[in-house]
Amino acid sequence: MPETPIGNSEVTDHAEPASARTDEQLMVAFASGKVEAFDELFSRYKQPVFGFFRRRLSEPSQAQADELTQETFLAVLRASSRYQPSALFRTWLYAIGFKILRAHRRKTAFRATFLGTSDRDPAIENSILADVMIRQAMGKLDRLEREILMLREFEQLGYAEIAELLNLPVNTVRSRLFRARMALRESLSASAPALSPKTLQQFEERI
Amino acid sequence: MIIATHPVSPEEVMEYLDGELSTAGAEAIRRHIDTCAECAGIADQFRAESQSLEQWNVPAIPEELDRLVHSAATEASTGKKLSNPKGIFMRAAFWSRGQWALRTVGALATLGLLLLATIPLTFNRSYPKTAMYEVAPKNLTALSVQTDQLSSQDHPAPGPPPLPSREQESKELRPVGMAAKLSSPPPSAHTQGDVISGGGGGGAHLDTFQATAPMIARTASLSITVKDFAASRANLDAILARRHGYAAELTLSTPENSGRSFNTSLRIPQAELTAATADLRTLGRVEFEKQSGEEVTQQHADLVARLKNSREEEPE
Repeated sequence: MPETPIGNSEVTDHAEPASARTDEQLMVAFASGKVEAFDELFSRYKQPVFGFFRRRLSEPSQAQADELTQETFLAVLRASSRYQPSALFRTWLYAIGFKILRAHRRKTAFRATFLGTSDRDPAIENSILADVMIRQAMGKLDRLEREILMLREFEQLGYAEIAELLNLPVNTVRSRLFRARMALRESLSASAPALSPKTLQQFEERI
Repeated sequence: MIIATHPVSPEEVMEYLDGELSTAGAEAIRRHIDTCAECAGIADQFRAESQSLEQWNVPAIPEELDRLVHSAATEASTGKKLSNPKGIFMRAAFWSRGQWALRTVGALATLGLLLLATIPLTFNRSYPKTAMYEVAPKNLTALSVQTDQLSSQDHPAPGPPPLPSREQESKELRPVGMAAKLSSPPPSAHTQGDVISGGGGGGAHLDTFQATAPMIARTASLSITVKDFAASRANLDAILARRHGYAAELTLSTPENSGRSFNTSLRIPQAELTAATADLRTLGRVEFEKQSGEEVTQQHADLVARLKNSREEEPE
């Protein structure tokens, strides 16, 4: 797990390059008016946050992942004055991402209910076979277990960070993560034979 | 699978691979995995699973976002307020559950108040104010009278008469009715009365009322202080007979070292209410008077419906 020191967020005007400073130090530096500190934070997290949305959005909405990423960083900018360096920046960042994702899902569900625009398009565009397999296998998992597994595997968050984000005890995170991995293993091994020859051809035609 | 006596559980292997164990704990697991083929196999499975998940790639983020976010960061650093593209909907996304609950309850309460305020206005608009009283049914009026008499024995000549306190009197007042207080000894008579008239409850007339007419239950409350308690009570009975009313409730109290009080609820036909109230005022000095009206159209409609249903269900 990548270790990020916290609680050592004193801002000194040292000559240390921005890339050598912790997320929390950069955030505090930005609060004191240093734009390059935020640029560094953005360059560190733009791709992970983009991936966070891409993997959680259904196919037609994936094109909006960049928009949601932008909204997340704008929300970070707006809330930067309230940021407390006692909390890990990335936990705080993903918490904002979750809120934006939930708002997006609510909006999509509202449109699907009242405007009749469905977000479920059977067409799978620009997906490679591995993506499809994993997406399908992940889709079979329990919702909470899937979220824990994704936060661990893709966002590389520690158990304690996941527990804080999802408001769960760390022990629950550990046990649910274990169950998710077991279930995913079964699901992947079960889907692998099903994807051969005919299914494989179907997927390849779509690519 | 690993048996129960195995020193390392699969979950611990997972924790070790996730880097969640302390240095000593991780070292112990590592040494065990080196010597245990079964645990090494489990670790390999976890690794393979993570590697397969790594294949779920996402494309690179569009480069124009760099410029957009950088200019937003520059604006924010100069103290400029960033515009919120999503407005209220995006702000709502940041509400906590408590905030959601509070705002929902607030919105519902506001809606309820608006409805309460709008419906009577809409309803009354179709009837001129004067017409409301003209079409009011010939109902019975409720009166409650409380009489209070202070005897000369209770209050010796010197000093001011210990009249019952106003607080006590107001507590004795009832929402419907008239209260009269009679005090004999002191220089003045004290009478207190409440009169209330109701426009919607006359059972005999229920079926004859037009459903569209608003029905008003009028209530008058009077508090009267009188000099002669007995005479005033007789007068009250006379007024009641003259105005075709009846006493729904009578309460007479004669507390020690205090004035006598007589509290009664009278029901008077609607047409006689004004005259009855005027008659009651002649009993003594009016200390308090209050009149109010309540629309009972809905209650009346309910009563008519219940009456109709009951009649229909009545065995022939």
